[in-house]
Amino acid sequence: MDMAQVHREAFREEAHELLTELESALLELEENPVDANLIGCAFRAMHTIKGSGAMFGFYEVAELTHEVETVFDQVRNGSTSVTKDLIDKTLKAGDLIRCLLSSNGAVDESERQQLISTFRQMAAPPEDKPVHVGSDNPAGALRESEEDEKLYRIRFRPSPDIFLTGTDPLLLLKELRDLGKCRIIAHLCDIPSLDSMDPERCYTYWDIILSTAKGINAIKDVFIFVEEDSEIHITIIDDSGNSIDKPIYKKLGEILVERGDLTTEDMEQVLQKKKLFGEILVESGLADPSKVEAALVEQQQIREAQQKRQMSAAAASIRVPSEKLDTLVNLVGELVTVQARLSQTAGLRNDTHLLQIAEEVERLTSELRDSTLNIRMMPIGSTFSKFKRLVRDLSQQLEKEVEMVTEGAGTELDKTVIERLNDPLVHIIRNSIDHGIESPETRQAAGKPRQGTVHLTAEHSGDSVILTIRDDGAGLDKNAIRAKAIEKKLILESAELSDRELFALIFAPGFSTAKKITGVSGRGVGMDVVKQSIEALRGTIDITSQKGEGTTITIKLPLTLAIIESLMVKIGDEYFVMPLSLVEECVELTSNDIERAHGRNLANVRGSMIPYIPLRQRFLLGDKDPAIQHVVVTEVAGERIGLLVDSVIGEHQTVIKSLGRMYRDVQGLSGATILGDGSVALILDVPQLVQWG
Amino acid sequence: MAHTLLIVDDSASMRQMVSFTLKDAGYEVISANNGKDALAKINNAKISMVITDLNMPEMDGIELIRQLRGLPGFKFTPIVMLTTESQDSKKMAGKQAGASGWIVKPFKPQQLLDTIKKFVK
Amino acid sequence: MNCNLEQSEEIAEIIISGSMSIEDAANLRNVLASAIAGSCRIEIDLTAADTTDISCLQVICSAHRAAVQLGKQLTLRGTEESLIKCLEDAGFPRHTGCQQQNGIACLWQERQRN
Repeated sequence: MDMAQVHREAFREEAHELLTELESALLELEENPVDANLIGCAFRAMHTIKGSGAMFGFYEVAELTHEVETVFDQVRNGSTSVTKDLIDKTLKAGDLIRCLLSSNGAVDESERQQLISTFRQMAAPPEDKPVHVGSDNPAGALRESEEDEKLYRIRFRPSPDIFLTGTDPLLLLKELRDLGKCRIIAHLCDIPSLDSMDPERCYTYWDIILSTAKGINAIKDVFIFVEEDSEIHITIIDDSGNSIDKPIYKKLGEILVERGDLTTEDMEQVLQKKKLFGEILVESGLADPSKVEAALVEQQQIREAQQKRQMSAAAASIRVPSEKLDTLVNLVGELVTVQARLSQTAGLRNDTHLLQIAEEVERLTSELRDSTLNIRMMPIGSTFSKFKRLVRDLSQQLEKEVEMVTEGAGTELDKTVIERLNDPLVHIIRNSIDHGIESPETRQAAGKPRQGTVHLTAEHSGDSVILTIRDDGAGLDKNAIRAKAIEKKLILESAELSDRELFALIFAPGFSTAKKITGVSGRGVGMDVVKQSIEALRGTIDITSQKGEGTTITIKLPLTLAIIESLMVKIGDEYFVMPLSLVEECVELTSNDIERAHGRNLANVRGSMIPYIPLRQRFLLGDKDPAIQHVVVTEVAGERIGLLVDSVIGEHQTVIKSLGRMYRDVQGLSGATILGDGSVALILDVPQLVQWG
Repeated sequence: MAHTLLIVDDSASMRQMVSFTLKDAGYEVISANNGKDALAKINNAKISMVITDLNMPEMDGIELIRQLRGLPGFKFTPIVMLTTESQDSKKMAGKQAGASGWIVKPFKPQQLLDTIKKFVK
Repeated sequence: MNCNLEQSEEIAEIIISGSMSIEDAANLRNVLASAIAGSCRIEIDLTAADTTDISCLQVICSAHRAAVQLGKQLTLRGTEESLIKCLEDAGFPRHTGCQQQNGIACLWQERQRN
């Protein structure tokens, strides 16, 4: 048994004793309704049960006893009197509390509610301050919300009597130190002469410059018990949200004027003499040296904070316009192409000297390519923090409690990919919060924690990055999806679909199962657009879900958009490439095989029938099919579909060139690449081919 | 040397929970049922801090604070009261009697320890 | 806190041990006042003092000013690590002199760890 259990047990015993005392007091009160002792006894019993009950988690008990206590408090101070009805109802309340306390306490909740409202009515005038069963303690410790690092100026002038309330200002200063980097300057100018001072009064006051990310409330909490009697000013003097391009710090005089330690006129007068401002102030006695020092400290601390930010930004990176990078990547792309030609030519010439040079160039080119692409890589973390804000705002708007947990913020992706990921991710997260995560009440009723969680993870997997958005919400409703898909004529009523196929329907254009349109999501233009954007990035998207447990969306993305590993194939005299990541395997297809399929485009791959798209027909390439063709089996959206080609050439480093404006809308092609011999190969847009057949 | 804290509450379970939390954190604890009991149990002990409930039989918390402040050894001793939030007026009365701070019930053990750290080194 | 005063006309030596707290402030004030009244040089030995609170720091600060005003010398001796820490926590160490004394060296000047 853990300690909390031990305490709860101790409370149960105590409460039973108190209830017995209450009962006998009530019975005596019946005889003697004005006995102050008995009334006090009943009040205290209720008060203790309430206070300790809430401590040990008996909130229902606490809520009820609070109402009873309120009435007895009024009896105690004479504004209400003991009636038979009150005694009856209180006895009843006692019985109910006993039930609530017993471990298997089956209690009629409506009876409890009724008693609560009865006692509320008895309490006159009605006190509409309900008992909080939560906690709102000043010494929070639970307030851990991190904000941006900010710099605060705090002037703390405690009441002279502070020592007499048992408070040592030193401990408060220490608490401030625990919040962050802290400079403390004590002002001693108010300490009187030795014979006129009262050693038990506090004459010292402080200027504190504190740099913390804990927020202003954490600072206020430090002073919670002394704030009424002390002079406390807290000002934000620097915010890390400030632009680091233009460091701003105030002049010494401005700080002093702002603090009220110097008048503007005095400042201007001094400024006319040309000497160090601080020196003049001290010499002329216009400001106390400790105050000048405090202002100097502030100035220095702000400067440090800003310099630190600048330094860290400067040391970690240099800023380069992204167009310059794009140019570089393009040049490297061309170099890769030329290098391939060089290798090819050298191979043909069979000149060892040239071959050596070609190999050297190949090695250097690939290193250059890798590091150039690396420059474009950015950690995905910057987008993550944006999403945290989104989650916070959305959950507030929808009155849900949602926490976002992110993992793998350091995972790097091509800058363009990250930028273009933003909208799809926003949409997915919105959906999770709007449709996935249930309201706190619903969650609680389902035995889940009130607060829902959205996990956002990024991780490397080979040459791709896998993003996972997982929520612990209600999960997808298969029946609703099915019904909707039938209604939208996306599937036949008789269709038998696996879960995966069923969930994939969500990505069909115009599909939305939300019962009503909210301002957040559910306009039905969602997931199909998301899917398109991901595919435009040459990525794939997948969804799984467990009813009641949540939904997981997995996005797989290539590391970069500029150069891909691909498979090169040939049809007639034309070369084509497709992303290697989509290719599962290649199998031969003979004319005999085709005959056996009776004109249907199905290939038998180790017993399972896989549909294929004959690309020769698809692209109207004329010529006749060779005797032996090849089926490149791809996996798109969980389905295996083959592409029929003449022959498979092999793997190829493909530098992607976008198609000219005229060809941009051609279905089934996503770009082109230049081969080693200078000819052009088209890049197949496999998902689109599959979709359009 | 460990600090000795005085905890005064008429609820046995509260006393048990608070004592356990404090002892676990390395403090010495003297516990008392009510104000009168507390005054009787002090016995010249050097008390570093007092934590007292307000509503108690015999002598309530406010009166205890008032009397403690009158004792020579308690002029500067931190005294923290345990209140329930419906007792805002009590909070004020307690401060006037000389209380240093308050903790609102219900609280978590860590909140109790955090509050103590405001007053005891 | 324990506080011992050994005094001659020329020099008063005050040896303090233990932790200096508000309970001791009044006593400390009286001891320092009589030391200043009776001697030309006042030395406070803090080697055995562990910690101090604000009230005792205020008293020492005020005593220093009183001594300077009378043309006497008050110095601190043996400020150990733990005591320096208290001074720093309290924000007493500073670079500038004391204004009450027209910028004459403050007792707390440059009393911080480097």
